[in-house]
Amino acid sequence: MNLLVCDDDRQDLDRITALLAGPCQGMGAKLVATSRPEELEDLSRFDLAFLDIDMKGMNGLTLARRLRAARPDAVIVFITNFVQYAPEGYEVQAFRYLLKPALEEKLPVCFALAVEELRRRRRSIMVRSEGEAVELQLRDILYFESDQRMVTAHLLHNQRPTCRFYFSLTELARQLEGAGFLRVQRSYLVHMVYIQRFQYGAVELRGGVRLPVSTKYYAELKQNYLKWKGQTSWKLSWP
Amino acid sequence: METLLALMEGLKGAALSAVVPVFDWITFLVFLGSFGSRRFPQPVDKGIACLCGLLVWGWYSASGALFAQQAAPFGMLAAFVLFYILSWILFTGLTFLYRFFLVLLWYLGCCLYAAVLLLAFSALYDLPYPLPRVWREASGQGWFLFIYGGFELVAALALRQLLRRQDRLHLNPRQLVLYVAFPAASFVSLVAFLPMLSGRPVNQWLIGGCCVALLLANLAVLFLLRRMEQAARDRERLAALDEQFQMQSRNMEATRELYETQRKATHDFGSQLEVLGQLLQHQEYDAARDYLKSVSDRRLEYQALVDCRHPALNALFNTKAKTAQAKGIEIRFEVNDLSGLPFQQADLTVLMANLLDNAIQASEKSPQPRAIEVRALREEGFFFSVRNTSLPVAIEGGCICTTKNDAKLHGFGLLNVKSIVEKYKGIWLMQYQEGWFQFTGEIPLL
Repeated sequence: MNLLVCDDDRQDLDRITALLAGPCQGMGAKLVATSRPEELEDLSRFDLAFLDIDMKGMNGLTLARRLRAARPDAVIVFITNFVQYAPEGYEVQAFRYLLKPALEEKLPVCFALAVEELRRRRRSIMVRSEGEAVELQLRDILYFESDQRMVTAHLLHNQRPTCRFYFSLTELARQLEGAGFLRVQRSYLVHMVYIQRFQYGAVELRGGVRLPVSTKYYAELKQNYLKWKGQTSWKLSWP
Repeated sequence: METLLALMEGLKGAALSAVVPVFDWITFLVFLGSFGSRRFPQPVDKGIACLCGLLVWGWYSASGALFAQQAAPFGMLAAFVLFYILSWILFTGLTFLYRFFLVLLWYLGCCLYAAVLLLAFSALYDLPYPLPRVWREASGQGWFLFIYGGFELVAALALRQLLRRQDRLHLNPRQLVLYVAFPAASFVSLVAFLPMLSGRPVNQWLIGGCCVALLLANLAVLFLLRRMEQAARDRERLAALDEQFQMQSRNMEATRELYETQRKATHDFGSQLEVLGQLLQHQEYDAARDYLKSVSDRRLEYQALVDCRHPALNALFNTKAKTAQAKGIEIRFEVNDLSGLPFQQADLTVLMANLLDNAIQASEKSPQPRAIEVRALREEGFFFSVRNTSLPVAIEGGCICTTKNDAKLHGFGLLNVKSIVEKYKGIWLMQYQEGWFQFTGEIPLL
């Protein structure tokens, strides 16, 4: 796991790094600390980032946007003197905001929570497709489609748009319970994170994919979707 | 001596005959007095009342007591008209229909009351009907008159006490017609049935009229029921609106406070800059550095700000956030640009205010770490969600089962939230899971 810490104030940077050194070591994570983030080349390698918002060179939000674009499932924590909950923060899906004066107190806990969140986003399942074992990252799955006992996982990869394997959709739904999937219809198991519109009769996913929704259970399904949405702050941007 | 005895007998007779009309008259005055106001000033009014009382006595003596009027075909009607006129003379402040209704009620009451007593009397003494004969017998008995008058007076005074507590009834004509239906039907029935007790044949048409009148009366009851239900619903709605209004007032007060705090902070900032400027001007660089450090170290009283581009919601969120933090509850927000929401500002703020108040109250009681997560997002619709750490609650049928202390809070607060969501054709849900209570909803944008 790769960790990024950015702050244009050297003192603060050292402080944060010192606080995170121990936990990082315990996890075998690599920590990269810099006060000049504009010099960073490859942002996609970072899973977790602690960023100062008010930086003079490159603004923390801009950095966050770039990081988010490079790594859709990264967990970003903002460190600041003055917390502002605003649309910009939501846009980059900031996980938490930490106050600089309260770092000693809050940072270790926040780190633990962030790691847990990261694990949740990086969950994967193993399936047997065409004779070989394949690991499917949940974050790549748009939806599962079932025909008889043949399940097709529609993915977001350009290289590999689908993955077919024999499985029971009901069993799959049970295994993925709590992972953000919703059985909108007998043959479709949808990744709720990618739902853009949930309407009577149809659900629209990112990329314009429209799938039918069971009209009989619409009310219940919508409720479940809202329930999940109220608990989750993870929306994946289109990679 | 004999003349004296005769005189005494005469007086006694007169006194006995006066009992019923006098008590009836007093009851009449007391009853109508609870609804209307006296037309004439006091001394004049008393005089006129006495005169009218004498008139009534005369009428009774001439044609027998009230219900005995049925001897004459329109006797009862004539008596009714007499009392109506007397009521008009003495009381004011009543519309025609209202007065009609009251006099009818009183008249009916008196007749039925007298009839009941007489029937009891006749059963006691095993007297056969007709009723006028029973009446003649009964009115000669002092004790009967005593009972008659006594109970009547007690009833009248009790009624006066009961009616005094309530406000004057404001009934519009349409409603009054519904109310009059039952007494009127009873009156018609009385007119129909009383001849039976005199052994006279019953007029078929009258019985027919009775049935029709009673049917109409029962229908009137149905309508009245509906009106009562509507009134109850209106009262409930009024209470909920009142609650909303109170909340709005509190919000405005909190917003004012926020402005005040901000103004003060700005003012302080200005004076701090001035001090700094002075120090620098006098080249007291060390002192300046120290001063700057001391000012920077001072923590801000409130350290987070919400900006969703909607001024009212901003004020609300910031106020509630401050409250939460003061109680040691960590509060987080996820908001995007809510400036274009097409809902009434009052509705939006009441909705979120209620949810946040609930969350704060519940979270306060929960063990650490206490937290509240607020989401208010404008996407496909207006999505809002408030999650808070909480002690376990049971949710049944869309309501939270709480202890009595919380009942009021959860009662109106959530009722308001639900009614607002439903007003805009949105949906809502609640759940409790693993230490977190969640209220989520979505309102479509059209």
